[in-house]
Amino acid sequence: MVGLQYLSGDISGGNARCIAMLQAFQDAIRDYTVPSEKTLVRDLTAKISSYVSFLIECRPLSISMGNAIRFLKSQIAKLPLTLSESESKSSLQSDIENFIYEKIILADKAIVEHAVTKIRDGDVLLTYGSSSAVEMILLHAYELGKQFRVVVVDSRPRLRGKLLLRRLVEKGLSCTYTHINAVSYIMQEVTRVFLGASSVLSNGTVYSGVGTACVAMVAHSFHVPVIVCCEAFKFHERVQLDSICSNELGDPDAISKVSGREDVNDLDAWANTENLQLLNLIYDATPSDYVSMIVTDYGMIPPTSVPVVVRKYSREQVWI
Amino acid sequence: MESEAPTMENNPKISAYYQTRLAHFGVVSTEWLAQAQSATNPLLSSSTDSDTDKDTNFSVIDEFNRWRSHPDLAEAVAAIRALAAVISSSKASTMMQLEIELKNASDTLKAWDTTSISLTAASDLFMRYVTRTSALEFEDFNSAKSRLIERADKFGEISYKARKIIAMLSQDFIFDGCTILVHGFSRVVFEVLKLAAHNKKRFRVFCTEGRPDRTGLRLSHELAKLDVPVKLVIDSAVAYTMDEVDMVIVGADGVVESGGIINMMGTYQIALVAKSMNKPVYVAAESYKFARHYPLDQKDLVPAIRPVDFGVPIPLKVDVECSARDYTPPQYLTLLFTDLGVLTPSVVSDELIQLYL
Repeated sequence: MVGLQYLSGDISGGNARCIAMLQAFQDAIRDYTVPSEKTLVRDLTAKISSYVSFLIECRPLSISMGNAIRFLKSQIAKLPLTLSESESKSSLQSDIENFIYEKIILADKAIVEHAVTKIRDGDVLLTYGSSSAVEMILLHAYELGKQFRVVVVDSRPRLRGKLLLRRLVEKGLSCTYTHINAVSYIMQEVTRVFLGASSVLSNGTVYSGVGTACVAMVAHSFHVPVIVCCEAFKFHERVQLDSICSNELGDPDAISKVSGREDVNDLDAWANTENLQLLNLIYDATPSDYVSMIVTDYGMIPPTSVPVVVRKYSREQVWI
Repeated sequence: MESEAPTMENNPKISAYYQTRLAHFGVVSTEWLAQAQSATNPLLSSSTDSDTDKDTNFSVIDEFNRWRSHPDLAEAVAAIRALAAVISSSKASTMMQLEIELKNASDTLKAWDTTSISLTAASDLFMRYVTRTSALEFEDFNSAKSRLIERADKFGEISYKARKIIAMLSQDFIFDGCTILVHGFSRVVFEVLKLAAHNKKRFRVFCTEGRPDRTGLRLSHELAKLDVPVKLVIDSAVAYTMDEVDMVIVGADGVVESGGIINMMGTYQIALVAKSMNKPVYVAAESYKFARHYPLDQKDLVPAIRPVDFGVPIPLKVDVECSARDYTPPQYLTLLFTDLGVLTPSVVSDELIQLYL
């Protein structure tokens, strides 16, 4: 059922998808019973793998979800054989609970605390798209009484910035909304840029929603510091040099149609045209030179220190 | 000397750290010489005082000031020695009590001068170094305490020797016939140059004046004594002379997490000019100066004010930029010479993560 939700785009955003997936796995484990001839460990792993392939069919996994699945599989593999079925199930369920709590919820709290120190009175903060971490930072800073205004930059076809904008305006922040075409114009007034990330790779490259690289590049050329907020469990030891080599393709029709403007239909016949292809990429890669600082639950680190955190993080997991 | 000042400075905005540096390294004058004479004497008498004072309230600030008045001692090392003294004179009977006492002393020191980065960093480092020991279970509190004192002294020794190590490591980078540009008076950089002169290398030094402290004048004095050819340049003439310069060596007040440095005002300018003319900028800094700050721009630092004396009265309507230090981002620095080795700026964060996490 969760897979169908992904397909329809109901759940979007890295953290939401990850939490939903882990909770679905929790339910699956709870309802699971070991068939009589098989061992819990192997059978459960196989079942989880089949669920994962179903999810992949609906929508390719994000990197953070991949990390979470790897964690779950390693926890299953580490289950001592002496535990009874119900004990193993409950230990797995509590492991998942802990993972969600420590790595996502507590991590977000730590990130908010660190990042809020970088917001000063009179700042103009720019954010792109909709990131849960950035939203929490902005709301917390507003609660602390800091005086600042927010520029929300959005882009077609998903227009996720609108949701963020609505939530911020409801709380009373003063916001400006613009499309990505105007980012080089608005960047003159901006003092800080806060971006979320789907993942951060080992060479410091930030892997995030398409358009992020543009915003970071423009900010860099205007000497505006770019702050990326990302939980540590989303770090990955892969190295990627450009946006094309592994990416996700979205629905090309989303590009050709503009919702609410039925008269813009020049591209309706694109499927019939042979020499025309519509490319709707979901992610892009921002090189580390454009990123000033990455805020994680471990603190504020420069993009060159990501491999150190990845190493430490994987060591921690082995201990658990 | 201003060591008779109470625990809070009279004007809290003026940075005590930079006042001390001025007092130590400002222009040589007969008054300074007289003060230097008197400074060496109280060191002997106050040590006997502290023996008799053991029963009364032990003030970590007094201890700190006593160590700090020695011009050769880095402020951070003075702090470490003061904290070590806290352990040895502590009347605590359990490890928890001792740790709490130490924490209070460390907080007092940090609050005394919030603008000094190396002070904060060294105190934090000392606390971590020492509290790691307490993880070892010792039956007897006294033996644990003496072990702590031993480690504290060792840490003080290491920090003290750090300058010698840095001087040794940097010798390979100074070749015969090179021209070095230095900014202000850094004791570490002076140690480097002293050792190079001792090793009979032939080089010449361009020394910036370093207004408003004019600490560069003192450095040129010292270098002239070592028979090193010195040329004084005013701060504005740095770009003019950068053509003839082969490398820039500066010290640091603090090394921040991004790999950049916080140093005397003017360092950023010099680094910018050097980078645009492709000259390497080397930083000589001890490892206890690594701090967990992460400034994004110049205004992101705690302001450290150092009053500027222009020699003529300035009308009240005119504002004066009196910040004592600036931040040099890591992309303008080539290498850091530290007692941990010769490092690139990006390694600073790795070291900090290993130390603090």
